[in-house]
Amino acid sequence: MPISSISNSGLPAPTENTNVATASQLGASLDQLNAQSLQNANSGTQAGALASEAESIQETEQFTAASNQMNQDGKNVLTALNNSKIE
Amino acid sequence: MLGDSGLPENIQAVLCGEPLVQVFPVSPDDIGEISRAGAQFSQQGLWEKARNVFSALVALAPDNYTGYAGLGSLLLQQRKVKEAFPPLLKAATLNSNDPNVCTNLGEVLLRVNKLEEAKVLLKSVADMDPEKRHPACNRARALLEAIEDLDRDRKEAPKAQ
Repeated sequence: MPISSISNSGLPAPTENTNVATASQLGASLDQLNAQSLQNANSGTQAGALASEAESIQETEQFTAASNQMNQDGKNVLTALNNSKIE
Repeated sequence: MLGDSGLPENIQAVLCGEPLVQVFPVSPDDIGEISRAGAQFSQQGLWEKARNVFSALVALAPDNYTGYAGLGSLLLQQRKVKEAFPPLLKAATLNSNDPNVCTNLGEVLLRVNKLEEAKVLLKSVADMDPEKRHPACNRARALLEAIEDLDRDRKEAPKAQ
């Protein structure tokens, strides 16, 4: 498992978020989904969950090496965030 | 080798104010090993130990994104969302091509209600993996769908009144 994904290794099921009404409720839903996702990962249903940590890290390195780069829109958001504050 | 004070020279240099990064150069392998130690502490629920390890990694390798990524991910896992934002932003700025880091940052933006920024960032992560193979990119897609559901609910709410 890549180091940077230690807290959020799972894939939330999008259908479980259909009735969220506020961002805080959405956050609570995400907590539940993350817990469920970790269970899924532990049971081996998540892609790559059965791979060794070394293999997973290698997969990520290969992924980033294969021209899978963030587009300019994403980079622009990072630039804007660096110039702002989270209140 | 011992210095004038009887302490090892590198320790003495640190005590005299030499930057850690110059006194203790770390290799990419070192960074990987330290990161794995932090991740193992985290997986065992030893939050303080994990936080210390990742913080030390940031001090030893401030130009490498890995320590910031681990620290931010750890804080997000503890739901310390606002604390998680600076290290995740730093990590994403140093390496915007790691989908795990950028998805975690997208989740932070979502949780602090910066939905427009979250949408653009998460879509960028999703676009990094058109074959839908990387778990972090797929998680970004799922988070995007959650935001779209939220937007739809907000637009439909006035009509229901």
